[in-house]
Amino acid sequence: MTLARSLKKGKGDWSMNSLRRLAQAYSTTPWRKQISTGMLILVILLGVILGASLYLDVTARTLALGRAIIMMENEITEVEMINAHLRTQLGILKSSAMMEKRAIEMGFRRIEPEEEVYLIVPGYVPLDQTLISSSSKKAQSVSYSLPPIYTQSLLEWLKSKLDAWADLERGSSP
Amino acid sequence: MNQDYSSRYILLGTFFTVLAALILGQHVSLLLDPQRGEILEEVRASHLGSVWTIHPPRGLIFDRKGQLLAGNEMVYEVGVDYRAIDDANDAHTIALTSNVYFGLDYYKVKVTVENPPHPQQVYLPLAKGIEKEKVDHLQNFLEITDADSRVERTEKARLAAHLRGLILQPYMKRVYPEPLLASNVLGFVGYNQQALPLGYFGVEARYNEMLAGTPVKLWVPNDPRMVQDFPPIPEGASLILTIDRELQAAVEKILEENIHKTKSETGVIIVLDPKTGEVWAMASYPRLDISRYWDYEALSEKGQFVFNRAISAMYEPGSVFKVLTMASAFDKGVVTEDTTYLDKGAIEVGGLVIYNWDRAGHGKQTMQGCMQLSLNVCLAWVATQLGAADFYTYLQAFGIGHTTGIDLDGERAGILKLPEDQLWSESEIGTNSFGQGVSATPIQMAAAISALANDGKIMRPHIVRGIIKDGEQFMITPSVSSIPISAKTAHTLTEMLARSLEAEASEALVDGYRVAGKTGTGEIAIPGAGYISGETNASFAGWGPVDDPRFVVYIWLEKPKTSIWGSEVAAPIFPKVVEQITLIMNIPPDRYRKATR
Repeated sequence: MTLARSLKKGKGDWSMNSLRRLAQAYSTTPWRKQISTGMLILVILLGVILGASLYLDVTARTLALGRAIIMMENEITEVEMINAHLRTQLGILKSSAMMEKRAIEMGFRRIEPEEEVYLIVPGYVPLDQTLISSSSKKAQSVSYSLPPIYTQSLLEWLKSKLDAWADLERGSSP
Repeated sequence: MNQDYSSRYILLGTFFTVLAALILGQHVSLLLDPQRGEILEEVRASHLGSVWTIHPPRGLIFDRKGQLLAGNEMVYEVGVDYRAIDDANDAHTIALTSNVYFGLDYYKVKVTVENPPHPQQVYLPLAKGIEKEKVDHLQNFLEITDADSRVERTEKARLAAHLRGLILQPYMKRVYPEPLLASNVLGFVGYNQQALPLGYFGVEARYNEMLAGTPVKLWVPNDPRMVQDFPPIPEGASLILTIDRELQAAVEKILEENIHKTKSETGVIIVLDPKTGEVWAMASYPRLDISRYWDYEALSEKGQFVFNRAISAMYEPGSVFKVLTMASAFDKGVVTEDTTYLDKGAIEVGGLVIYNWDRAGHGKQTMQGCMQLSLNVCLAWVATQLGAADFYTYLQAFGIGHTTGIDLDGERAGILKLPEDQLWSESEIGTNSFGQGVSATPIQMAAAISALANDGKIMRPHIVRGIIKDGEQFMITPSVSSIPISAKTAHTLTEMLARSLEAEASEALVDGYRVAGKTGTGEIAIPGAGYISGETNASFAGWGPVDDPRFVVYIWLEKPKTSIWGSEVAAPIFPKVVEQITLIMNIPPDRYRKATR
């Protein structure tokens, strides 16, 4: 029997034999259990790493959002201060002395009593100058706290989802 | 157990035993010393977060037409954070920047930055009240822009690094667009011992809690995950005053001009609406520049500076008081317009001889004549006809001897001795009838006189017209303080006093408007020596238009030098004030008003 024939005949047998030999070798190998345990640990470790990465990612985003909120609170306070400042500056520009000065610069002068002319307009109602506040109430924040999704950890979020799922299973309304 | 491992187990066991013992020991020690526990709890809490007390912005103050009288301005506290100071270069840069941009002393700042007062000190304020514009200037300078070259960017970054320890903390400061205008009414905001803003005098003091709002304590966690949205912090309430800014400015100007013209020491002008008790203007001289409120201490130490003389200065009003005496007698019915009195120039009341201002007798006089000639003797007689019990009951109903209840801080009650008082003597009825021996504040006199201009009713004088809270506006409802006389008495006396002014061609008459009024010249007593000073209080109380009174004006000049008489120094001021009132408050002359009826 030539080598070529033998190869042709035994192509499938060779691979089966190889596998069989490999399995036999592995089963007789003294450290096979250690490899199995090692692989299991690696799989668990991979799972833990994945979970931790996800947790870190969510936590980091929460932290960043928290920081952004603090920054925005500070910005709001500063903007409110600037608004109050500008309102006062407007008050200064419209002060009695300033207005009189500007009026004089524009060529106006104070009226003398004998120059007064009163025109009687039947039905005229003078403008009510008592209303100073705008009728629109200052917008109130509807919610005083952030939704929990911005503050809870991944585990807390998972627990809340599981609780919700359990509630649904029990038939309670969501 | 394998012998090789036993020592390890023993070591581990010992470790956990000692740890448990330590925890137990700490627990027991905390139980025995609760104070230490509290301290540790504070330390723990400080690591978790901090409590912020947020003071809402102070409410604004407007005049009756919505013009701003008191607002808030953004200013900065400049301080140093010692934790960010690394070397002498930082101190130099901070000192130089503070000097160039904020005008602080270079060496003082440098020494402060280099030498913290305490080793543990982390922050120290260097200056307060730095204007926003100055801080903006610095921030603009440090801001890196696209136009900056690389060298400029590097230099700016280097400077910013050195200035890490320079802290700029914004806060709101009270500011008055016109710090002299109505300063006696507004008061000012200073700082208390806890360095918190506090209103002093005027509406700032009276409505301090309302203006300041309610401070909110918030727990702010250090952990950004636990951050909570700040609840909306309600601003302090804003006030709308009854004061008209234009009228106040005009009246203050008139007062100041006439103080100088008559060489008076002090003065007051009050303008109020008798129908509502609203004070339209309240000028007091001298007055404080409330943007420099710290001058108050020096001023009050120097002389008898009274922050608002209109409500706090008591004086013997003199003959304007005769209006109250005559109104009381008319109302009681002991005299009428037609009653006559034979004036002999003197009268004895309770053992005291009372003379007229000119020490002369004026013969037979009607009640109008008594008022027109301002006869002390006649009025003393009228008061005796009324009797002490009724006379003082009326005076009390007019509000003499007690505060008017005006919503300003620092009002005084004046002094009115009553028959049941030990110091009272029968002669008091005579002297009190023409405004001597009794002291009152200008606001008391103005309120009392307003009864004649409002059908016998005194409306409680007030300064606050409305309140704005959380965007909602509430208006104050005027209230009646007392009704000392009937409407008929009020009309009769008003008409009589209008005729008096017209008959004597008084300088108090106003073109186009029929007005009523009375002058007053009260002598100033020197304690222990009597009325010999030769100095007087000159007053004028006037109201109008007679057919439908819209305003009451009360004028008081203290110790005028050009003339001691109210008719010569105080009465001429009245038409000037009325001209402004009618122009600014839109009160047409009598002929127009009557045409529209």
